[in-house]
Amino acid sequence: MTSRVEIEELINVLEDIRNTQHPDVPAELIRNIVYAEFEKQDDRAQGRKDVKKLVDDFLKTIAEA
Amino acid sequence: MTDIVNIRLSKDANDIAERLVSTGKFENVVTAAKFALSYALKNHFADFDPATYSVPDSAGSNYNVGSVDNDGKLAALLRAIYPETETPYIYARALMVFGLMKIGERIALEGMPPVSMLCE
Amino acid sequence: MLRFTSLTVENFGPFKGTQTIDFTNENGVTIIWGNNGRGKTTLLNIFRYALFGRYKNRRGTEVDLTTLPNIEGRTEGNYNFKVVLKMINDTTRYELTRQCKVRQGIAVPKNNDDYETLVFLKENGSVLAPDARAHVLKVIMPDEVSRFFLFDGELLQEYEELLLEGTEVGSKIKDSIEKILGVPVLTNSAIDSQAVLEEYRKEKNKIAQSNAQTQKIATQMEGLEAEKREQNAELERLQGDLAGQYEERSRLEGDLQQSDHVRTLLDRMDSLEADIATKKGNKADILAQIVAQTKDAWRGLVSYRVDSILQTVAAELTELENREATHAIEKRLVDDMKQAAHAHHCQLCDQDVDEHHVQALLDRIGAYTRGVSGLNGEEQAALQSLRVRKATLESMRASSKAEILSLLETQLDKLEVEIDDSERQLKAVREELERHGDVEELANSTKAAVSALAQCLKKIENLKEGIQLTKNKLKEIENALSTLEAKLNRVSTDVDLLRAGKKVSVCEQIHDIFEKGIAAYRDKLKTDVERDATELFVGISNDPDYVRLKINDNYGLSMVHVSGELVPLRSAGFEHVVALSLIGALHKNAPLRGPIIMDSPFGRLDPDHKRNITKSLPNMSEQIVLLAYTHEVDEQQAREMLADTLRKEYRLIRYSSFHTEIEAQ
Repeated sequence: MTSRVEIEELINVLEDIRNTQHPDVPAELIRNIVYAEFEKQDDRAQGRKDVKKLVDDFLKTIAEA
Repeated sequence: MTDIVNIRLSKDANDIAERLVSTGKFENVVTAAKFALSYALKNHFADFDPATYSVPDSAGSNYNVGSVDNDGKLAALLRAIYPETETPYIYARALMVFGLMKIGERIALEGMPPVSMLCE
Repeated sequence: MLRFTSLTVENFGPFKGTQTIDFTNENGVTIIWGNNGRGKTTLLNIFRYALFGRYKNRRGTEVDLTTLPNIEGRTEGNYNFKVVLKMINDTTRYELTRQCKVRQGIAVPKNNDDYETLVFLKENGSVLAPDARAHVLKVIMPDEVSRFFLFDGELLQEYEELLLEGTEVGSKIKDSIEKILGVPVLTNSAIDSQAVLEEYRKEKNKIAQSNAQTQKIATQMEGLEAEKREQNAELERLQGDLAGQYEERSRLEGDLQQSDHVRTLLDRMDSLEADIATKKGNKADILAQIVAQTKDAWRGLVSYRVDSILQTVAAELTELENREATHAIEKRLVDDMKQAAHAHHCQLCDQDVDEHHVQALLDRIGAYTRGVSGLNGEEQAALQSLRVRKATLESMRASSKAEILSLLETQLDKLEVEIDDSERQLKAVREELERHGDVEELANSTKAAVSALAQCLKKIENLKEGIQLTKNKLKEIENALSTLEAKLNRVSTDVDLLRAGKKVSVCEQIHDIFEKGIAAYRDKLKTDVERDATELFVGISNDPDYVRLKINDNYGLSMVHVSGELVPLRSAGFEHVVALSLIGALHKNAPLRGPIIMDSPFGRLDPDHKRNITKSLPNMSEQIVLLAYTHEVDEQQAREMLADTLRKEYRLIRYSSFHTEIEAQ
């Protein structure tokens, strides 16, 4: 049930919005956030920490740029 | 002969009057007794002589004539109906007891009849 | 995708000893045939017990563990029971064991505390730690969506609640549907990205506060953020309270529903008591009227005699009065004659009377005096007496009370019959109520429950209002913050601040993607679910005029007629068809993929529908386990229709009342 195939539909919907309205946000970041939330549905606190780390790591790359 | 000042019904007549009262349709024994008096006058005038009727006993309740006939109309009526009498309350007593006994016979035969039927 | 590969039960329910059902590793259908009472529903409950550790009866209440071991096993002294469920999730093998063992020192268990429960989950042969075990089980089969994988056909009716607004059951099912479709992943992403955004905003604000140029704006923003935090906390509190009140409402409604019959009886009792009281009041009034009438009835009754005597008295009186009148006239004449004889002059004719006529007058006077006499003393007395008697008798005339008494007595009789009838009914109602408990206690507790529900509903309304007000307030604060933010961005030249601002902008974009994604994904899901459910539905339905299904915001599906009209009321049979179509469509669209175990899904369906559903089973999920009673659906036909999608067949065979064997066919 954790097959990545099954949540592609969900990711595609987000990708449409990202692509048309927020193309500067990397698709990979959105994908990774979704997978982190999917894996941690039963541990919300950890899920939030994982999302924060993903965003923090990305924002660091912007700052360094 | 002097008239009575207390009307005392016989035990059986009193019982019958109380049965009438227990139907809830008569205020008290006096009302029932007066009703029975009229019943006797209406239905048995020809064959009943209150002058010679012997009331079986006086074991029933006792009523002062003032409570039975506070306006004197009953006595006046009986004098009008029986002009020969000088003792209307003796007649009243006889008629009441007799009337109650007759109503009692009807109750024994057909059960407690409606009051309206007794009026017919 | 999750697949069950085998289920082993040991001394559990009707299954004595150790028995195993092997499912294959291939896509398809397994049918388990069994008549009523042989353990089909128990098998479904055993799957639930294995996965979630709970065993509930038909009414949804958890049962005592002491009732679960096989009865024949118990008589042989075996009170332990176990289930082992083997599964594959994509390529990972799992073996889930859940067993109850009697604690040491206890010979015969009397309650749950006498058991110890042991749970093991092996992943690819290695036993997982409890936390890891809990995590894996929650991911591969969350309890909230189990209804779509393990379901009892009898409960398909509740999917109708999705068509109604604001029902508790409908709301729970909708949440489960969104859970299985992955919507919580999006909502969690939106919530968590919002939290990250808040942090970066705080950071930016801190930098802005330390800069003289932007300090004032930053301080204002800090103030608004603090207010926003307060309002959010308040919103969370209100929403928590509301959820609590919804649960309370469900509980109270459940209690009241269970006591529905008792309430009906109590209402009936109250109604009868009120009716009897009114009628007794009316009876008392009528009796009072009768008593008023009988008080004077003696006069009306005696009137008949009075009238008869009056006639006699009147006649006698008339005779005497006539005589008296005649005598008076004659006496007058005699007096005139006497006067004329004495005065030798008649006053009547004013003529003198000579001697000859005087003598004639005297003779005539003598004759009158001798012939006529008036009433004697006795007759006078009689006349007076008669007058008195007449007056008395006339005053005693009164109309008979017979008619009015008859009317009143008829009304009274009718009332007495009605009162007796009502009292008899009241007695029966009270006796029935007493079977449920003390009547007064029941009345009080029902009244309290109704009052509690009313209060709960009021609280819900107040909370909803409070939540809306708080949301409005939050929106105002957000707008004010946006304005200040824009101002801050305009006036600032500080590099650190600009960098922080960029980070905030990126976080806002990330959050916006997820926020918009929720609505977009829901719309897509509804379109896809509607499409897939329609496809399944038209394959199952035997009515060609029902051309499709239409979905609402709660995922409720209405049937659409070829005319375009929504079919307003549908039969229980079609309710099942629509529900099965929805479940099949959810499985097609869910990120969570797994087997469907269904217990007697055919319900009240006709043979055509049963055939069509059987044919559609392989389209609903990759692995289907069907529990059906013999002849619920034609066995041979089922085999033919499923053809090579039918993987295995088992039959639940009765060995005795308390012993069922699962035999492969």
